[in-house]
Amino acid sequence: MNKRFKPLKLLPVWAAVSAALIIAGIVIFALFGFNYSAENPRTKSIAVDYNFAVTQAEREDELIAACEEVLNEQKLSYVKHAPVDKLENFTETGGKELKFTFADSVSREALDGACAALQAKLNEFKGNDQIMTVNVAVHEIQPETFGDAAWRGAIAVGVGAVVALVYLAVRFGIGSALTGLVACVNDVFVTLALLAVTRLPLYAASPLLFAAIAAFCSLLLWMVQCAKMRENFKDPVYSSLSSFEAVEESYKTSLKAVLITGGCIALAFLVVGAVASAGLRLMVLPALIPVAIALYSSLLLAPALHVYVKGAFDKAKAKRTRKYTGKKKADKIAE
Amino acid sequence: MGKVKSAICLILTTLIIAAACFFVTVTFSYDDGLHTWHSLINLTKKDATLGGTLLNGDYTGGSYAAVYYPEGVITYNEYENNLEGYDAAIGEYESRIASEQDAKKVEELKKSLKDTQDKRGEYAEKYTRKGTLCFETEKAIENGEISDEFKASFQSNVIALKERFGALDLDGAKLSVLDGYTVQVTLPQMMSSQSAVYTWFAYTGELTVLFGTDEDTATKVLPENKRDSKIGDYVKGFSTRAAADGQQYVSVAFTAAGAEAIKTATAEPESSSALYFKVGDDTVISLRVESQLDQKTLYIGGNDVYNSETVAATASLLNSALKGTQAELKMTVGDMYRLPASFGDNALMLVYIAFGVCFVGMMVFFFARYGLLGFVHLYNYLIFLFALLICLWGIPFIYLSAGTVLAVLLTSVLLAVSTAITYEYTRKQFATGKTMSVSVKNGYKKCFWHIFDIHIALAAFSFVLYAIALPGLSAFAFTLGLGTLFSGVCALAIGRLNWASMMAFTKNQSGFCRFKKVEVEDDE
Repeated sequence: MNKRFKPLKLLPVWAAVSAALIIAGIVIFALFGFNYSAENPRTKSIAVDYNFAVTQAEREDELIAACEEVLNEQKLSYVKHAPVDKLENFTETGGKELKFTFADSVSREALDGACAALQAKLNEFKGNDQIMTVNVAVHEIQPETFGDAAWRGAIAVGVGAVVALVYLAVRFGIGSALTGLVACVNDVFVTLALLAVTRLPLYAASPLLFAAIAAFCSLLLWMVQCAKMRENFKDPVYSSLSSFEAVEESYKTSLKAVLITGGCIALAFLVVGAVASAGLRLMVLPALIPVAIALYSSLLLAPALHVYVKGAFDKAKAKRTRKYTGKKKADKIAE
Repeated sequence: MGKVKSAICLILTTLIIAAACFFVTVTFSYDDGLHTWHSLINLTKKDATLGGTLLNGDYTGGSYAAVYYPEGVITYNEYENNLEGYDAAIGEYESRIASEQDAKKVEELKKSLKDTQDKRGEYAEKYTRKGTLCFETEKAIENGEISDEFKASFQSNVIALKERFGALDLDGAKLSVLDGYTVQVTLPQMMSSQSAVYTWFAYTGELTVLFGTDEDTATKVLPENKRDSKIGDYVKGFSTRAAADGQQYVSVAFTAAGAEAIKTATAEPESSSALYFKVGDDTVISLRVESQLDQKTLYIGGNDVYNSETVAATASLLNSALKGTQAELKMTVGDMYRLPASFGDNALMLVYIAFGVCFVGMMVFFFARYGLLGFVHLYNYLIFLFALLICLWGIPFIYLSAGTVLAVLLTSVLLAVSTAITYEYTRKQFATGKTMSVSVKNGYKKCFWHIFDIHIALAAFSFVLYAIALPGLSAFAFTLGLGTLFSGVCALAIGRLNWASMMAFTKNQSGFCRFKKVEVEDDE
């Protein structure tokens, strides 16, 4: 590491960065909320509904091509969805619905025009026998959200993290658990703040899922640090060091492990995000944010904070030790 | 470990991995395509976002969508089709009149024609078109526009549907208002009782409880025929309960007044007496009463109708009906569709490919850095992965989703890192000049509690998250917890066993692991 760069001395900077991000996130969230456009886009659509006779006559491809031709002529940009099966009492009727989705900004008039043109074109498919039915309709889709159960997920993440940190306190000491708690809370909030600030398109379940990933990664990476500290601090050399020096020395030995662990998670997410389909990519690639934030806090914020926490706990320990040595009493007896 | 024991151990492990690999991944048809053997990964439930077509043509994953039409609303296409039907009938009568010779029959046909024309006229005037929908003018239109009363009633329907579906806490369920006055609801295909849920949730109106020998003659028990009495004064609420044997129940909690009214009403039951819980005009529960009911809480279940989904749906519907108002419109379930996986049909295949790429990358690293020790990690990882996939298939409340994919990915990295840590600790021990067996023992000893603590804390976090969170997040959390446990077991126990069994066959143990002793220069 660059000798001039001392991340453990920059706690105010890291705290300020986190605070700025969280405040910005709260403001943006209060104004606009999360961008749930991946899950619930408000759209308009044209649905072409045809019965079994069209599929039986193997004219489906012809019909789809005719629809696309008409919509292209209308110069409308759309997303074509694969035809879906129509059901009656959960049994396939043989009929299908072909849907073209348009942005909400496309005017109703333009779509009505396109719909009329489509119906005229598709009437050719009906023929004289009237067996084939093809209907076209314009729909406006306005998604609603269910009664929000986000609070329960948030409580779950919080309680889960606290339980893990209680274990951390028992095994690694209260100081490590306190630092871990701060890092974990920071990671969850900064992750949510970044999701709000960047306006990334999210699914409804994404914020809580990413919060949980942030808490998981934060715990994992901080525990890697803690494990190394526990091992290092057993060394008598460390007992003579100040809290800053001890944490800094231990930090140097665990840096590689933390970087590799965080890097591997990020790399795995990146590979899956790169290979995955577009829908899944919107879920996996933003998951890099909690991983990056957990790396940031376990490499910069948490060790810098732990210098002070360890210092305070060491002082308290020393004070306790002094208090119970009973030196004065011994002196009295000697007198 | 001796060579014989190692060989037995290695063969057993290899056989287990091979068998797991076969069951988890292999799908084929036999008997000339009449039967299909499905891999467990194919049979694993998939959420609404992931899915694909199985070898036998069945589709797994995705969702169902149904549209609720309020009373007095139809689609313009339906309206047009019905008018076309009248027109076709009119055309038929006209052609028959033209060709008919018998004057008497002509008269009859003309009369029928007139009737049909009148009906067509009435039907045409009955509805007013607004965009894609047609509204019954009498019920919904005022001064050429949709009436405020209809708008308010529809809005209360939307709120009721949101409450009902929301209370089911289904991962992948969606609700959208379509064209302003219909509601489209999407439910995941992995549910088993969509039909019942769609039908029941269309019921509107207030909750009433009746008692009698049949539905038609049953008399109203709750709310009592008193001034200002409301159903809420008699019933506290409905919830779900599961017995130890898995049987699901709807629990009805009565207030003291409710319990007393039920007790009085059921004082002298006949052999075919039943208590009917109705929402509007539709019966939701019909509970056979053989003796007087004097409990404050009733647990209703015990037949094939009630599974976890139907019980939750019943409780949700009845809770919502406790607040039901006369303002709600009757609803019918209209068009129904089967929607493919929202991430696309190839999404799952791409996930498998992505996992393949990650797996190859991981193994290249392990073989490059640790030589043949990479095989130990290979065995380790395969045991971990197949165990996790078998659990994904076998545990009913977890399923394949984007969340579980991320959980498997996270725990895979956890296992790889934990394994690498044990190898590195052993490498350090070996470098100081110890023998390989002592190095392995010391290496594991030194890092055991680190890895153990990390896994226990993360598993605790995951399982607490699972216990509190709702479906979706809880599926992710449980997979995460399970993966963390498997990762810990594989890294600390199975990995060490595999290492000992594999290394027993090599003479050059340091070469096997690519570990080197630190050369100490001799000054002399």
